[in-house]
Amino acid sequence: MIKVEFFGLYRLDLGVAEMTVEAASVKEVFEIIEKQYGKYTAEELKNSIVLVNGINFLKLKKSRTKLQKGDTVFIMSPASGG
Amino acid sequence: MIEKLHAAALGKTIVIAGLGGLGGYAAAELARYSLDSLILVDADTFEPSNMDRQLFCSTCTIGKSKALSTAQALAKFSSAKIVPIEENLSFANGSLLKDADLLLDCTDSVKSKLELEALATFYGIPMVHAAINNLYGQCTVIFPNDNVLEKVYGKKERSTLPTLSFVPAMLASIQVAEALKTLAGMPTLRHKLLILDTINNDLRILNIKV
Repeated sequence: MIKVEFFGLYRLDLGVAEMTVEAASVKEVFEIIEKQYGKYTAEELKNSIVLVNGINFLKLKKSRTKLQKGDTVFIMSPASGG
Repeated sequence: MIEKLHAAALGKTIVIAGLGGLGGYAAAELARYSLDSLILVDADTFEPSNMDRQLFCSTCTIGKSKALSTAQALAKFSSAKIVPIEENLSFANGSLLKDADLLLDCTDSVKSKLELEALATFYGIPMVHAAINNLYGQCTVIFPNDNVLEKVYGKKERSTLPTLSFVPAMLASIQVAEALKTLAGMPTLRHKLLILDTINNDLRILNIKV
């Protein structure tokens, strides 16, 4: 199982802090979120900040990043205001 | 502990880049310590839309320099030398950091935040980063060559949504606490990203791999 945690706007908007999913890649996680909540498409979620075990998925294989049992995925919206 | 934090601030020079929501509150707090200098850097002027959350925006300061207005307000109670700079901090004027001990990133764009991180590395000083969006915010402590922000943001500019006064106020206080702890050599949020969700009162600290 993969633990997915939401932060920022995603947490506020979806009203959920975390979920556990069966997924083999980040792309599959996005698809599950789209199907379950309907508020964000998998395509939109590609623009979020995604940390897989603390590493930004842009440094990995982006949404093609493979996931293994026990991995943690953080899905964050960016804060850049001052 | 309190004495240690006061002592850490004694005679230090801190630069605050950005004097909007975060920077105004952070400046008001830092000005109460025995710093040598507090350098306030921002090219902007106050606008009416800043009134809801920017501490030193008032009917008297609208249209006036944020750096200058903030410095004038702080000079009424601070023992530190308050130095307003009516420019944005960038590579062009980066030598402002030459004698600084610490930089506070209170700016409002990914581009400027990445530039400040590179500047702080160049001048060999720590930077305390904070950012807000809507009803949440984040804070971390970055030492030279940590290169944290690209790991968080990527290189993409991010849009922001309106916020409310308590969000910058809370994040600025956390930022000031991290600044003093950094100067005191105490454990900080280095390699960690604090995310504060003010609606659910949820404060999380994520590990950022470096």
